[in-house]
Amino acid sequence: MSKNAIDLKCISKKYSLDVTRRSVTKNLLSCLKGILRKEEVWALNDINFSVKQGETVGIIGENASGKTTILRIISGITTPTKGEVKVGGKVAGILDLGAGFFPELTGAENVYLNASLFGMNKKEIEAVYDDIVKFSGLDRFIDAQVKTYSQGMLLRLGFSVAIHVKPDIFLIDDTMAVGDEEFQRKCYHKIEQLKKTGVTIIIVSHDLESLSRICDRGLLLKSGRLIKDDSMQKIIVRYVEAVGDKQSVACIDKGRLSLIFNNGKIVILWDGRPLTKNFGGYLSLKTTEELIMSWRADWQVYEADSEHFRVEGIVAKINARIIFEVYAEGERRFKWQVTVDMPHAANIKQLVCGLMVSEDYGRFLNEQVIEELRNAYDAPAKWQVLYRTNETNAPLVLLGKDKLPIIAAHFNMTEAKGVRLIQHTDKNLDACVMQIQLDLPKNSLASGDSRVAVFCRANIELLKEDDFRTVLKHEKEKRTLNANGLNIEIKKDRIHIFYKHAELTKNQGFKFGFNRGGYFINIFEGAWEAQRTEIGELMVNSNFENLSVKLRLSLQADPQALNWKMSVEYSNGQGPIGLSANLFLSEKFRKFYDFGQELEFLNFTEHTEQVMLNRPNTDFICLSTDDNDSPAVIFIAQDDSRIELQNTDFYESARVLIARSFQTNSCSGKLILCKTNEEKEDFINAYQGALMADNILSNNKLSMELRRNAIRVCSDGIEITEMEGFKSSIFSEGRWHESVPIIKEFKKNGNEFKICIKRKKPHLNEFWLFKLEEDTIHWTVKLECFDELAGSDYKFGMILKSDFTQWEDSFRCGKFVEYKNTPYTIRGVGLDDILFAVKKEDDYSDVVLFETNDNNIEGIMAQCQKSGHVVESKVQLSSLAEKDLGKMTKIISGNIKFLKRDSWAKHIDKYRLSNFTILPKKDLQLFVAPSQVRLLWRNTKITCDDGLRVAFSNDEGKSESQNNVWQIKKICQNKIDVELYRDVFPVVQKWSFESRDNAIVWEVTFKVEKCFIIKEMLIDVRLIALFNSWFTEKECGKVNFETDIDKGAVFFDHRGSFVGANMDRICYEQPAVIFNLLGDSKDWSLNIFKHYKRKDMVGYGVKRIIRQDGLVLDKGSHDIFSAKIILTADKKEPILPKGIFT
Amino acid sequence: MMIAYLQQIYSYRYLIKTLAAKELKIKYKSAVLGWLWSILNPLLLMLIFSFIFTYVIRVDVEKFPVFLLCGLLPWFFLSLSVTMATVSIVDNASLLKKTYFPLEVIPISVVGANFFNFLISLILFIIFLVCFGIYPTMNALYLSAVVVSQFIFVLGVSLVACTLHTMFRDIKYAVELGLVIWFYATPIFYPVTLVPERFRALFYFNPLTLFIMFYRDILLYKRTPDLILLTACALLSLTFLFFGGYIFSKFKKTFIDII
Repeated sequence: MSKNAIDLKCISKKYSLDVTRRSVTKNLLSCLKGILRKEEVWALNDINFSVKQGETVGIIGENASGKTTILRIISGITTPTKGEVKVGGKVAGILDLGAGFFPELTGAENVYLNASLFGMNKKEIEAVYDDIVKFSGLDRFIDAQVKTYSQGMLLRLGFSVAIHVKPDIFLIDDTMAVGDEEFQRKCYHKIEQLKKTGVTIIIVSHDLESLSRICDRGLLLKSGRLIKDDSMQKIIVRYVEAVGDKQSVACIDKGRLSLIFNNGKIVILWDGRPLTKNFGGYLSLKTTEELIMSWRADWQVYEADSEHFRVEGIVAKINARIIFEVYAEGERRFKWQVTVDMPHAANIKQLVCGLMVSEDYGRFLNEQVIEELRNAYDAPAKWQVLYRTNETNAPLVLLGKDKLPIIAAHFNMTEAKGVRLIQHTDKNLDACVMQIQLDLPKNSLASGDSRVAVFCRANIELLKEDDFRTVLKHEKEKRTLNANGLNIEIKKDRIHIFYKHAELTKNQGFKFGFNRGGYFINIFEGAWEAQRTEIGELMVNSNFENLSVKLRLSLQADPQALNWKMSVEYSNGQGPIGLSANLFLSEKFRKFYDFGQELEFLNFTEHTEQVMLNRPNTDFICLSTDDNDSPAVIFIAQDDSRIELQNTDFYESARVLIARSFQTNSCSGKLILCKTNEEKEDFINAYQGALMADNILSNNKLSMELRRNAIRVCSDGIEITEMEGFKSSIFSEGRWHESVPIIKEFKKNGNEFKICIKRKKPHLNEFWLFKLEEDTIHWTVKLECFDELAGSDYKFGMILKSDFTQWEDSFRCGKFVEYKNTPYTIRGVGLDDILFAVKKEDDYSDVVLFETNDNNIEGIMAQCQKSGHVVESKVQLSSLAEKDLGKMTKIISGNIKFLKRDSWAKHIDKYRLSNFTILPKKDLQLFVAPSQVRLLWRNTKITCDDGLRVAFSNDEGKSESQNNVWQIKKICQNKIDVELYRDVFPVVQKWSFESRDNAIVWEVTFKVEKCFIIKEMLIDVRLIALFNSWFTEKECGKVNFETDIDKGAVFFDHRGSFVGANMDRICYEQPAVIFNLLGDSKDWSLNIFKHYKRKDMVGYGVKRIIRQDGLVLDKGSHDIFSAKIILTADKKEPILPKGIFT
Repeated sequence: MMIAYLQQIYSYRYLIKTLAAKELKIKYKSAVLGWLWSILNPLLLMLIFSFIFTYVIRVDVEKFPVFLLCGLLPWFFLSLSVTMATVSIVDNASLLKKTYFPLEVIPISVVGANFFNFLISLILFIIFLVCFGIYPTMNALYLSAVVVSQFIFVLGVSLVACTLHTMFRDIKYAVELGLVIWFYATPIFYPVTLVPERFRALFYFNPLTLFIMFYRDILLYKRTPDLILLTACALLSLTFLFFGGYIFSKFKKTFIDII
């Protein structure tokens, strides 16, 4: 093997420059002159070297240094002017693209031709033809003319042929750059193979990395002279130094590291192998017009010694000065400082300081995970950000192959937001750049200064694998907290929580941020840095334009918990509006513990949308899983923060706990892990009972217990409240604000509780007073408002357990409608009464009576919720005035009674009768309640519940009195007025009842508010079916329920007529009801109809049929439409009340 | 030395073949009829000449079209070969600068390509003769000797012209002019008997005259060529080739640097 494959002895080569004009005349002329005055150039001058067989030699040098001439001499294409060449073996290679290719011929023909140029015969070519085509990867194009080929394809074909001619000496001239990355790799792989088979290889290239990788030896040429013949690495160092203007080249050698500055580029060499490529370490300035790269500047070396250099470059165009200072701090570490001094008027928009790294570096560190760079071939040619961080001290790390040192670069620039790693994916310039970018907004710089200076610092470390692992570990440690299996980790812009290596968080992890301008801003969006303090806290500092956020995370042992505290400082202007911590928990947390009961989340299905679980804010919530091994978590918000609970949509499938702070500068809380169920229960109990010991009021029937977030009421030892027990809501700014169920202040005084609820938004304090008395809880609400709330609606109420299924007020009753699978759907069931009872299903159980004492209430309403039913009384804060701000004002008070069912019945009847009854005669009574007017005969109903009705209609709709809103007023002992409004028609009806002797006069008047058309009107009295006969002045008859219904059976045919009806004569004790229409009655008719639902009811009504096209009612025209009806009742034979007709 | 030289060239015979084939292919590559032109071209030429000289211009020479073509075809072979070979090295500069192979390959392949064309037209010509009622005799066997010697002669001339042109680019024009003179100085469209007696001996120093005479003897007059003259002619051709090869190999080292 020691045989020399190539021997070059004293080789010189001379070229004359005027070859193109070679002519006889000129030659003759010069011969005649006797002087050979040709312009001559010695392309090579006394070159001596020999190459051993199997050696791989790289030749580098500037353009026109004689590299190609050497290859030509070796290949025999040309002969040296002087000297001796010995080449042992067959020479092949590619000295130029497309050499030996004839554009008119096809690829296949050219393969034959090209191979024959290397001296192969047909047989030999045929043997390797398939391999050639296969290697070139051009099967599809092989029959196309070569003139249609691209440069890359030519290279593929040329290279394929050249390596298949089985050369002994293989020559490559700088042609590889044309090929795409994949083919280049293939070529280099093939070259390596050739190398192994003992082929002598000579490469001329400017691609220093490839050379350093492949070549054993290097030759450095300059101006036709062999300057250095040494190991490739050393040659490269010399070459980089030697290229360009000598004046602006500086160099540091420190052990294996060499740093060479050459006209605006910094080249890093490791053992002579370049770690950078193309731009090297560079700076770019982007003005409004162009991009100025640092190597465009005029550079001058000012200081240079063995450890550092300082160079200055002038960019004349914008009058800027760039200063590079490089300090080598050892073999594996150097500092690079950049100062840019430029006039303010230079209009620099962007400043980028970067390091373009060799493609030997194929992996990068992405949040502690080593990832591969993208394959340039797959991606479109563009700059792609691989990794970006706002963290100010995070290093950019690239990992190379072949035990190349790992590059870790810490960039730091004043005001810059963060660093990033960019890959340019292009066949021609596939590079990875570590860079820091500073955007200069136009007005950010003080306008007074005429010049601006920007500094950038980069600490670049070249790490060994082991050191890197240490750094990685250190970096990781800097961002993790770890104790007893609980592990908090900051990854990129997320915080993850693990317990025993299982992640509790999901997706976005534990996200902290603040609200500014209506947008949530994650604290990791600022320039942040994370660090573990000496006391074992994880600290994140994040800086935004005018505010800085500090987040502290710490672990606590007993109970095992994560404490978090976020605080914000801002310099000027408005601070954030609210801070929040968002914990995205895994969907394995299926249950949440809420006010003493366990509820389940809805399962995620494809249709699941994000649900804000509509529940009051609390500061405490517990989530648990079905799995006994997974811990339950308790989320506690402190600092006046409140927790909201959300279920995300299907695609995210996470539970979200949001702690929102109403303070603008801090927000804190705890996340406690409970490993066992007992632990969880204990904790919940301890937490909820954490107020004071003396938190129970009780007597022999009732007890009331204050918890931290709930008020519990027990009757006979059975708990009847749900959730927080009592709640209030206030309507402000277009929505209801629920009370905050966190009791912070309370006072027990004998049998009284005084509780203070402080609200931040709207700003008010609520004082709830509860007094326990036998079976009654007396409550009073007082408010202390700080915001203008006069006129707002306010509700106070209690939340009862769901087994109270029925409700009843003075006039109505019903059941709560539960909508399954729709949590927290609210159904209002009434807003009428001051008295509301809620009953359990069976007839003997408890009734809870909720009543309000005050007259100013709008009513009591009930709502059905998934957990519990809310009964609350609503009041308008009309008594509040501006002067009351800050003063305590009584708003509303009431009682809650716990009764048995029978006592409730007594109670309600008593209540009803005592209120809305008029008694014209002892036997006949009129009972008026909202939507229900009834006649009673000796305390027995003779009409159905809504016995007296008025209905009217036109083409657009129908108005029925029972659907209106009723307002009842008892004027005096024998007179009740009712106003009905909120109708489909713009009409307010006024009914007035007056008792006269033995009759009741019912007068209906209309107040038309807006013009409308009426077509039909009906006034009816619905008697029970026992009233089965009728009579007028002239006729009488029996109601035939089969035929007479809805037919207008009896018509008034004369003025002043009257109708009546009485019961079956068999029952002499029953009265007859006389129905007497007063006034002009010619349009009216008597109607008999059946009750729409109940067969035992019969209706008698007067009907006024209005002309076909309707009657136009103008505003204010009420007389036409009024009616006066006299109802009287007597035993047996009806006696006409003559006296009352006029 | 010389044997090694010839061996080297011989080892590149496949390249010569391929290059010659390339010349032929490229020539008609973009034409619709392709390689058919290499047959059509001489065929049409023969038809046109026979038409013109049979019906339009009457020349007082027996079977003038045949007579003319006997001279014209060898002449085309020579003139085309020399013209193309002259510039071949310079034209292929880019190829020669990038790959190494014996430079002789280039002019040889050019001459070879033309020789191939010449052979085709010769075959067609014989068929043509048959059509005219002139059947080849046993004398036609001498044709191969004549054809080979002419090839050697043409190659020798081509190498000289090529060398000179590569050294001095003016030569191309001199060659063009020289070929015109040579054309008229050769009895192609006239019989050598037309030349005055005193100049006639001079004409015999023109090897092409001899070659054309041989072709006519063999194909037209159906007589055995003068074998002594033929041998002398072959030797002369070889001398030309040696001379051409000598100067070519002497100067070829400088070719790469000056093209």
